[in-house]
Amino acid sequence: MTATISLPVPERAKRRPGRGRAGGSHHAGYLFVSLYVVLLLLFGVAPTAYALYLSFTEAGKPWHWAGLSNFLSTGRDFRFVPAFEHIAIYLAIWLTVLVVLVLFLALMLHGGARRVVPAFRFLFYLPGALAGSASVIVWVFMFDPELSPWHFALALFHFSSFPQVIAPGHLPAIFAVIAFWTGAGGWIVVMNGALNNISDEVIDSARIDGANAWQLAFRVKLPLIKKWVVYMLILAFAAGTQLIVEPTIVASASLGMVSPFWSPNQLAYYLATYNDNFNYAAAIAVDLLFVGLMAAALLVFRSKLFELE
Amino acid sequence: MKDNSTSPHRALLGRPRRLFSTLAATGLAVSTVVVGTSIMSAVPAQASSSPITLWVDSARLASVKAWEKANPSVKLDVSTFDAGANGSGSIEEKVALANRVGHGWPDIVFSAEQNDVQKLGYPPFSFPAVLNGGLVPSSIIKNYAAGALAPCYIGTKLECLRNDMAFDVLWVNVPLMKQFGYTIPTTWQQWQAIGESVATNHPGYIIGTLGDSYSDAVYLQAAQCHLNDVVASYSLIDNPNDPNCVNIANLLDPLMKDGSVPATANEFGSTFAKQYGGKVLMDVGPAWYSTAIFEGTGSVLNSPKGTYEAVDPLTWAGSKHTWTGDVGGGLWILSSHLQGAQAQAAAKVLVGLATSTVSQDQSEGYPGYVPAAKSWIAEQDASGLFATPLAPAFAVAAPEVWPGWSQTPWDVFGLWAQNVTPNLVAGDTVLSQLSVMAGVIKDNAQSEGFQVKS
Amino acid sequence: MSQVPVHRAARRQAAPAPVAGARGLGRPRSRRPYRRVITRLAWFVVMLAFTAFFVVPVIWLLIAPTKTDHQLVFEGPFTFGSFHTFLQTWDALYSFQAHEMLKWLENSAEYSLGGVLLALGCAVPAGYGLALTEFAGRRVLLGITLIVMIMPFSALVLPLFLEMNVAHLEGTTWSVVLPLGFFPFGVYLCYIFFSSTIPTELLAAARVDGASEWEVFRRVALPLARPVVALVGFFAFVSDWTNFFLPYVMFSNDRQYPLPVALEYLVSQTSAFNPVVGANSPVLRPELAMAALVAIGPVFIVFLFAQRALVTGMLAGATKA
Repeated sequence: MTATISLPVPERAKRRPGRGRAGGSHHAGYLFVSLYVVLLLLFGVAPTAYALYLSFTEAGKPWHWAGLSNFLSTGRDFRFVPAFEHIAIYLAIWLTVLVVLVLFLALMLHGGARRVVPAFRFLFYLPGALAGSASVIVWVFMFDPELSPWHFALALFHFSSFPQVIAPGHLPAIFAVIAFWTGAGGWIVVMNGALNNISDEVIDSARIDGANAWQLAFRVKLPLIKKWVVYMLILAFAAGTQLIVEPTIVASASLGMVSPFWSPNQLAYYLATYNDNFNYAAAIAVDLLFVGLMAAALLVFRSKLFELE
Repeated sequence: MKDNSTSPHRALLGRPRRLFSTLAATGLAVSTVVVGTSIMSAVPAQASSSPITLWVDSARLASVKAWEKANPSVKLDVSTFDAGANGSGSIEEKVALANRVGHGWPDIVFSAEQNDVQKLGYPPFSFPAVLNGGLVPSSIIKNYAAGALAPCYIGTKLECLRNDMAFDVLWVNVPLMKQFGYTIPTTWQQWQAIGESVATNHPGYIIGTLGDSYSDAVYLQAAQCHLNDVVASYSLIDNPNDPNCVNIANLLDPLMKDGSVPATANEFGSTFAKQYGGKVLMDVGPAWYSTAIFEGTGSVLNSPKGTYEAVDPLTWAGSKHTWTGDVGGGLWILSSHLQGAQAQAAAKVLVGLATSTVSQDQSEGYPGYVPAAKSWIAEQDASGLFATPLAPAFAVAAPEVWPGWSQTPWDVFGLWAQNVTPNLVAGDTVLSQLSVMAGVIKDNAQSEGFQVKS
Repeated sequence: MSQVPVHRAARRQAAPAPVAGARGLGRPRSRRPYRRVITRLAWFVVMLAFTAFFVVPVIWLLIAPTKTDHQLVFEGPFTFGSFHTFLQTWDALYSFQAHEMLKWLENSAEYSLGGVLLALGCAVPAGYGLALTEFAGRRVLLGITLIVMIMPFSALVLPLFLEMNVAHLEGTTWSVVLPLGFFPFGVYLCYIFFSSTIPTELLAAARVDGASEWEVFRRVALPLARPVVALVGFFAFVSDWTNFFLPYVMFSNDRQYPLPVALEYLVSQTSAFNPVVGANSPVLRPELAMAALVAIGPVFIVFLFAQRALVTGMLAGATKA
């Protein structure tokens, strides 16, 4: 029994005539979402609202309106601009690598022999469980030219010591490698599942029309999984702007050679915990939320993600 | 394509429902905020007659267990955590959260970070209890080695007890020195001369390291460099042009260049034993390098018994007083949220853990409390791991820690590792990095509210 | 069917261009066995290269506990140590702080199981409700879900902590399980799944037969939802199992740590990563590698089971009807 994962492909529904939203009372709808709404309010809305409240009030003085002063103070912090510069470079590398390679691998898996695909998919996903501290031990060895199985690759860049590899200029690429290694597998699983649910008819008819592999991929498959790609872009963008785990891992691995406020989210966390200034942390978090939402809104409206047929 | 209901009937029904859900969400959010802020304003004192909560790291567990065994009547509730290692800020985080809800502080906490009291002792944390106001007998305080309690003082208030001391001494590979025909240096200049000779005659051997985050304390503190000198409350002297700083930088730069004090050498790096095993002719480092780096089965180099010895810290030629650096040494902190009998009981436990022989005999490092130190060093020297007893050099070095390199709310080791070490690895000189270091210290100090002067 | 005309147009445009495989247009494949073999081979080479990238560090991790700390540094990355050393490494890790490894595993299992059950119990009905029933505020709900998914956790630490204190749940399992049950990613997965896969004709038919909304959900939609339940359950499990920040904030007692927090603690107690620990570090690098393997083992096992539960074909049958 071949086990494949299939996920829905929203555009298919367009072709079914007469599909409507007939049926279902209003009350039932509320009941179905009620449990989720409770959790959403408790652990999503309320904390977010509280964080917003913190970002606009003065530290240590509850309910004292601070206007934009928290935002200005954090913006003027000597670590703020460098952190956002770092994250901009990181995002450029990370998003490109993630989207291109995830889609590439998902398409490769989709076009491959059915028997071996689950094995490859499993192997790609394997590193996903090694998130966080569990992987510190791995990276301290992988990035050391003296100890790494990849020493030939590191030698190509003329690295002869671990500190050279993690030089400040290389950090965005280093973090992108780690984040890709850990996170690509999950998205490959999702994209592969989305591709699997494209009906064979569509693919066969495209082949009959003479489409080759490239055209099949770009003109048929990718457009059909567009919503999933948009979803991945939104989440990857947000996750990228909120980078916090990878710098902490490399800091641990390098005995402190990476700053604890390299990324904006790290700075927010640092201000919250080490300086006991949750208001400043909230201001930076709101900055990041704003950036993430702008990207999400752009993507959602351009791709009509919320439209239902 | 649109999913929203379009009939007027549904629109009428839809609006109040949307309004309701929005109101509900707002109401919940607001109430959380109100409750949260009201909790924040009440900070009651700790309840009494409960086991004493103690947070330590795993390395201190041996001390705690030994003390518990000797004092079975005292009930301890022991938790282990990372003790703020590597600047994780775990103590600050927990105290910040506990301050918000009025409970959850540990009664006694061990910190592996030398500067934690300088962080926790100021608002908004204000966590440590003042110990020299009666909680700890003055006889105990007097029996600490000179300078051992320096990281614990905020003004005249003593806010922690030092666990162990980490003064730097000169570690020497005795057989290797004999083999190469060098005499053990007593001054930095002599040390430098040996380094230059080693680079020419015995390349690959090292006399020190510049790749770890402790280099700033090891070299700059010993040279009395005024880059991080807290002279008054919230007032810092940060002068990269200080001749002391320049002199030590000029001394180190040729050695770094010719390879006898490499910037890629880090005693705790993964490949140190591989690259420099058997090649560490000398090294300037703290007392605890004894079993951590040089001798013993748990050490990095695991040298044959009797290879290394500790020698008095290097003096700057021509100066009257020898100063040395300080790297590490943990702190025992008592919570200020205890009252009355509970506070007294916890203070007794604190004193026991920090100063009693039964506890300190298990210590990894040289105890700051002199009577415990005597017992500890006797035990170390009895093991015969080192070429000569450690006691004499340690006794000389202990009071020589230069107080002008202050413990501050910012992590100086971290700043050096993040900003300076990568540049040294890339080939920059120590001299060029003085202004870099001064710059980052200034930024951090100012963001903490310090006035920075040159 | 709208994609096919695009293809015809593309072929007319693509014919003169030297696109790889363009010359194969229209010709039966059986006349080009070499091309097929080469394509297959190329496929395997590329896949194996990527597999190596993902898997080599894991192989290293698997071998690491068989070596002593000294061997890890002095011998090559893929040299095998010995089974005896492996047992010693296991013994050192297992006996660390009175077998605390077992307690940490138990905690992880407890929090993850609770989190997954709660997440599924909320996300599946919610996704169904959002996709297939009518009520006002659906888009608002989706929008709010997306917004809170994007909010950085660093700002949510304090409010979550305060909430748990208000509810007197601080330090209990619930302080972690309840927030973990909030799994908006799962809601989105279920929403997209239900909105695309379940034909409304089936639901309408069931309603016409007199079934209540709950029965429609339970008897028509749920059985068809096995793939997404398995997928969401799996992702929820991995997310809960690897969650660090939530338990780190909620717990101060090491007996309550799940594996991610315990691993951070273990790393901080290893002299290789925290020099101040000194010589008698009970945990060295091989033990850390083994701890990492223990932490990810259950994820592997669950993934293997999840693969079996996700079967295609059911969907194809239902929608083609």
